[in-house]
This record gives sequence, structure tokens and C-alpha cells, in this order.
Amino acid sequence: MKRFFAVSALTVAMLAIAAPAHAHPLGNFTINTYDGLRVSRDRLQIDHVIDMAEIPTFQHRAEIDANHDGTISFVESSTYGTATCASAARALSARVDGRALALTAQQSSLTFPPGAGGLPTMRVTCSIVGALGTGAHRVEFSDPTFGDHIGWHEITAIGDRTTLSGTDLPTQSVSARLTRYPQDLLRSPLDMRSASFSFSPGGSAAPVAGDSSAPPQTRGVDALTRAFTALVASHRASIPFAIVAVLIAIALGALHALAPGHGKTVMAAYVVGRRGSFKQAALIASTVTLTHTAGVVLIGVTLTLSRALAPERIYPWLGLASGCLLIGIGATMVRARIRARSHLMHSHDHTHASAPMSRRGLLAIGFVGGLVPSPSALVVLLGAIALGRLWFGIVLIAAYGAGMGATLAGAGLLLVHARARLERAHARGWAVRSAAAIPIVAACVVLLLGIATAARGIAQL
Amino acid sequence: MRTRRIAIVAGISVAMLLVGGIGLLKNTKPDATAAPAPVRLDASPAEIVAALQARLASFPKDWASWAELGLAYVQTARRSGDPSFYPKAQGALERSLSLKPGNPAALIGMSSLTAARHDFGGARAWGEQAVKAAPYNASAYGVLGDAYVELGTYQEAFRTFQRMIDLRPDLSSYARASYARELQGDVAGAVSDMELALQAASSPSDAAFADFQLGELWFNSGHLDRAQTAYARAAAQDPNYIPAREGLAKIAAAQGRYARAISLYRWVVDHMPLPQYVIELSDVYTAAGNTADAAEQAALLEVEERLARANGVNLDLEAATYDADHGRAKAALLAARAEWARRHSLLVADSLAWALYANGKYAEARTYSVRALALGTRNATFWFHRGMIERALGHRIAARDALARALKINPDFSIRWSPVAKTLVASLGGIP
Repeated sequence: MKRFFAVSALTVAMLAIAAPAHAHPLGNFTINTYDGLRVSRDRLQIDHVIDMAEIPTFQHRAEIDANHDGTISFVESSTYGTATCASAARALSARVDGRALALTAQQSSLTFPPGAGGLPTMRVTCSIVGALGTGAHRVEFSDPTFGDHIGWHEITAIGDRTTLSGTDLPTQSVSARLTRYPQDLLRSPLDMRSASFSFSPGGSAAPVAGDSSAPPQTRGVDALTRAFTALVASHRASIPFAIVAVLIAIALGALHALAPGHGKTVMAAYVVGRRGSFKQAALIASTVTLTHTAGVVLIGVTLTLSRALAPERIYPWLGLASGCLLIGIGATMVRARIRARSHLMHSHDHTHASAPMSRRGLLAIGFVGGLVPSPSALVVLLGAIALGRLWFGIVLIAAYGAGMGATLAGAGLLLVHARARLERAHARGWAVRSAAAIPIVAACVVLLLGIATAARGIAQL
Repeated sequence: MRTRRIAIVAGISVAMLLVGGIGLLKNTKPDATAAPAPVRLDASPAEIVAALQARLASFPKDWASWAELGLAYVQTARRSGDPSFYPKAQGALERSLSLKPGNPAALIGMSSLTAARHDFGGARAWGEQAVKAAPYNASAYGVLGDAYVELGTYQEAFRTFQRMIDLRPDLSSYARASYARELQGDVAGAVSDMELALQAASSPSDAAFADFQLGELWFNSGHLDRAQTAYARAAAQDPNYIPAREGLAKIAAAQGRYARAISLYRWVVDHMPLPQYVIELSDVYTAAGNTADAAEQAALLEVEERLARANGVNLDLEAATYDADHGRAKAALLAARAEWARRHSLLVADSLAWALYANGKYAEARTYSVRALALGTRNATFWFHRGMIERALGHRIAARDALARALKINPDFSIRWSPVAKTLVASLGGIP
């Protein structure tokens, strides 16, 4: 509410300032509406948005300016916002199993985004709620507001720990809640006035409604993962199917690790710098698997239990944490290198250019590798939870993490072998000298990547 | 007069769309599994648009459908007043022309689009290309003739319309013939042509269009009862046809039923705040003694003028005339002269005459008023303007005759000016 006050005060102030001229994309006298339906187990929440172009905004100005003094005060705009949302709540019709659902407006906000010719447009956002009973129901919704007025009329629906069926309603707004109207030649302005669907309890949590309308879980999810999630969802659980699914999950994890990113570089740099063995690589791989599985399960379960937690809020923190860890590891490596080099200067001992790998360092690097959960894995787990197959989901995530860890550690081992070959093949000259420089370069790479990761985390906070 | 012009072009587009819809059926290949459901003969413009969109999603290289869609978008923009369809129309027509350069349907569409954007010179150029590309296509002659009318080259316009009606006597050609007769002062002929157009109407929206045109003819010749019947029929055919509601509002205002007129006009202005409608509502408020609401509408008109300038659109002639009436004589004259430099239609001549009168240039005003009435058009407003100019020049008899003529053509031509005309006729010695 506080934010609403600030925003409306600001925009009312902006009315006085000449705005840049850009015509309303849908013409200067459209009135556009959007209803984002969100079906929880106990309530129907409607994100009702009205976007008025310059001319209707002007036509409604007299209504808003209640004392007719020519300016729209803060009280006038909040009164109008509240009244508009209250009448929208009365006008919208939601019938649950044929019975009318009582809708109430809980929140309203009114802003005046600048339009063409220095004239304001108007945007009203209402949060409208109705209580739902338990169990599965059929919902018929219609929005008759501004029915015969030209404009864009859009409805979306999303289940929040419920599953919607019997509908082809989109889950996402193609106009980004009336902020970006598509300019497609083959698309007329939407004219969706009513919708009906059934819902039943059970399903993943929907993201918190707001201006970032894209569900965060789907971000960064490739077509492969979506296909996999669909596969898991569509099959009855059986042993052969489970084995195949686990194998696919391992492959997906490996593919994810092969995709561009800094994880491999870090692993490889670390292992190469420390002349790792196969055993050490295996330890890293299992740490990655364990950390990743635990992280995904933790976030997934929390997401299912609470809507307040948004993954896009957690990711930057995890990025920051892994960045700090990397800086620590990188710094330790650099220090060890400098120390080893000064030792080398004194003793002229060429035999042990690399320090042995400490167990603590291996665990730390594995932890970093698994700390930031892959969004794809999260989607797979949420899908499994939605289907009531939590344990199967966890198994799949573990398989996914294992595939990831193995690829990451394997990449490092491959490079260690390459290094050893290089040294054997050219026992003297530039090869030895450049091989001797590898550990310090590797240490610097880890340190720099740590700084970059931490900085990115901070930037996203 | 302007609404009528718009509506005529709109109606013609409807008819062309219908032809397009039939063409769509013919073009559907038997092997085309993804072809849209067949379009009914009486399909609404929205249904035709949806069918074309669906077809083009499956067959994106179908240049004929792109042309039909472009034309359908122009029509939708005109009917709904939603200008966001113009860029879409342009995109669709350009796509059609790039797939099949010089195809007549797209050339016709481009002519219609440029006219809708008030670039009548461009509309004539596209229309001439269309006629050259398809010398036996009635619609090509239709859009070319429309451009000639707007540019004021009436003899070419009437010849072109005649060619059109010879090729295909249907709603759009009859409607154009009716308009040609009305411009030449043959109201009875205009009515009978429009009745033929009504008989040729094949969908409710076509019928609503023709009925509205009949209503306009009756209203402009002072037959309020017949006009009311025609407007009411149009509104019943198509409840969302805004011009029909405006017609009913106009009747209520002329009958002095201001409360009803205001509620009808408010609906119209809420749904399509064209400057003409806003001005009419403002005038009704003034007549009803409600100056505050009249001022509110005047402010809305200013907002629209500001938007028009911001969008780089020419001010409407109505707005220029309104400016002349409301103490902004200089701005009105500037706008009218600029328009006259572009084209010499009767409406522009009358606007310029009235703006010159408001600026005290009575002699020059008279020459343009004579030009406005050169075809013998029976237009009460034109004659009223002529009377006021004659009176300012001290020509008492000519002034009385012109004003009396305006009232004879339509005693209720303007809620604002009819009473003025009546008073002046009496003071100048009564009806001759």
C-alpha cells in the first residue's frame, strides 16, 4: 500500500511534466483489460488490469477529479482506484460449479503513464479475490467490463498448487500484462471475454503475481528438459521405465555441465593446477552430486510449501556464496603457488612443482560446483512433486547431479592427462616452462572466476 | 457529410471483403488439410479476418489472402476507429506485393489504405495502377473514383463510378452512384440508388451501412421521420454500428429531446470519439444550457487535436470549422488553406469559405462558397455559410435567399446554427 501511495503520488506529479511523445500502441482511444486468474486450493485470485489510452483517460478525468479543481490529488486518485476496483469486482463474474462466487477487491493502484502529445494514459491494477471450497471444481469466468469498447481483452489462468484442466487458456500474458502489445501481422487485438476450466488440488506452486510475469522455474529450461518432464509425467511408474528415466537424467546432467558456463573451467583449472588423480576427481564428482541434489530438493520443497519464496530471489544469493567460496579457494591456490615458487628458487628442486590436493579443497570445489541448482533440475523435481512422485523426483535429481559431477570432474582429469602427455613428449624447453606456469595460471583463473561469480550475484540481488 | 464519406468507403470495403471471402473459398485447394472452415457469405468482417489469419498461418505465401487480409484490416480500422490496424494493413499489403508484384487486389488495398490515412494523391496513384493492372475489376474503379472525389476532380470521379457500375452493379457501386447523385443535388436519385444498394446487401453489417446512408439522405433533406426509421433499422441490424446511434442522437437533438440526445451521444462519444461526434455533443450540451459539460467536450476536442498533431495526422476539417466557430479563426484559416493546397473538394472549399468569413475576408470567402456549391449540391450547411457571407458583404436579398434555402433543404441542419438562420431570415424580410 505504501508503494502504491508513492507510485501514484509520483505519477500524479508527472502529469505536470511534458512527456515524450509516443502514441499508444493500440490507438488513442482503446480501453484494454487483462485478467490473470490464479487458482489456489482455497481461493481464486484475479490480477485485473485496465489500460486506458489518452482519450478515454481524458474522458474519465472529470470522474477522477472529484472537486473539479483541474488537478488530480493523491486522495482523488486513490479514491478513484479503489472505486474502480470495487466496481470491477462486482462486474466480473466467476461461477464455481454453477454458483456465483463472491468477489472482493483487496488492493488497487492507479498510475498515469505518459502517452502521446504530453497527455497521460491510465493504468489501474486491482487484486480481486474469491474464496474457493476444497476439492475439484469447474469455474466459469467472464469479464464484461468495457465490453463494447474497442481494445485488447486478455485472460490467462494458472494453477497454484492446483492443476487446471479442460481449458486452452494461456498461462502467460502475451502482452506482458498490457505493457507490450504484440505487433504480429497475423494477430488481431485479443478479444477474450470469458473462460471456463476445471481445477483439482495438487500441482506446483505458481510464482508470485507481479510485474515479472514469466514463471521463474521455466527460465533457462531447454526443450530437452521439458520433454523429459513430460515423459516422466506421462508414464506409469515401472522398473524398466524408471531405469531409462534415470539414465536420461544422467545424460541431461552431463549435457547441462557441457553447456557453456564457468563450472567446468573451475573444476578443470583446479584439478589441473593440483595434478589430481582419478580418486580425487571421483570425490569432487560425488560432492557435486550431493550438494546439487540437496540444494534442488531444498529449494523445490520450500517452493512447494511457500509461495513467498521466489527462486529468482535465491539464485543471486547462491551465486554470491559460490563466488566467495571460489575467491577463497583461488586465493589459497595463489598463495600456495607463490610459496612453492619461492621455495623452488632456493632449493632448485624441479621434482614437485605441484602441491598435493587437500581433501578440504576438493570438498570445497565440489560444493561450489553443486551449489547453484540447475533450473532444469528444479523443473524436473517440481514436475515430480506435482505428480505426487517426490521420491522418484529426488532419484532423478541425484542422477542428474551425478551426470553433472562426472562431466565436470572428467573434464578436469582429461586436462591432467593432456598436461602429463605434454610434459612427457617435450621433456625440455618451452613445454616444461609453460607446464610449470600452469598451476599459477590455474590459480588465477579460479580467483578471477570467483570474483566474476560474486559480482554477478551482487548485481542480481 | 464526412461520416457519410467514411461510411461509403467502409461499406465498399465490406462488399470487397465479401468478394474476398468467396475468393477464399475458391482458392482453397482440395489437398489443403489445414484450410480454414469455409467462410459464410454473410460472415462478419471479424470472422473473415480470423479465417484469413488462420489460412495465412498455414499458407504464408498465399499472396491473394495477404491482399484480402490487408483490405480487411483497413476496413476494421475504419469501422472500429482503431488505428493500430493501419500498420498491420500496410504490412499485409506489402507482403502481398512482394510475393506477387503488381497484383490488383493488393494495389486496391493500398489505395484504400492511403485514402484512410488522408493521403488522397497517393490513393489516386495506387488506384490508377490498380485500374491499369485489372481493367475489368470493379473495385479498382471504386477506389480510384473515391480518390478523385476527395481530390475534387468530380468529372473523372463520376466517369470512373459509371465504369464501375457497368462492370458490377452491387452494393458498393450503387452506394457510390448514390453519392455522385447527391453531390449533384439529385436527392431522389441518390435515395433510389441507395435503396438498390440496400437490396444488394448480403450481410447485416452491409444492410446497416446502406440503411444508415438512407437515413443520412433523409435527414439532410429534412425528413426526420424517415431518417429515424432508417437509422433505427441500421441500429437493429448491427447494434455496435456507431454511426447508426449517432443518427438517432442527431434526430433526438433536432426534435429538442436533449436528455435523450445527450445519453445517446455520450454512448457514441464513449465508443468512438470522432471530432465530429464530440462537436455535436458539445452543441447539444450548449443548447440544453449545460455549459460546463459543453466545455468538457470542447476540452476533449482540444486533446484530440493535440493527439492528431503528436501523431502527425492532419486536423480534420470538422475541427477547422469548429475552430472558426470558437474564436480560433486564424488557426482555422491556416488549416483550411493548407488543405486547399492539397485538394479542391467541395467540403474543403466550404471549410475555407467559412474560415475566411471568420477572419473577415468576406469577398474571398464568397468565391470559395460559390465553388463549394458549384455542383448544385443540396447541402444546408453550405447554403447557411453562403448566406452568412452574403449578409456580411451587405447583399441582403442574396443572404435571405441563401439562408431560406438552407432551412428549406433541412430546417434542422444544425442544433447550433438552425435557430440563427431562422432569426436572420425573419430579420431580413422573411421567407421569399
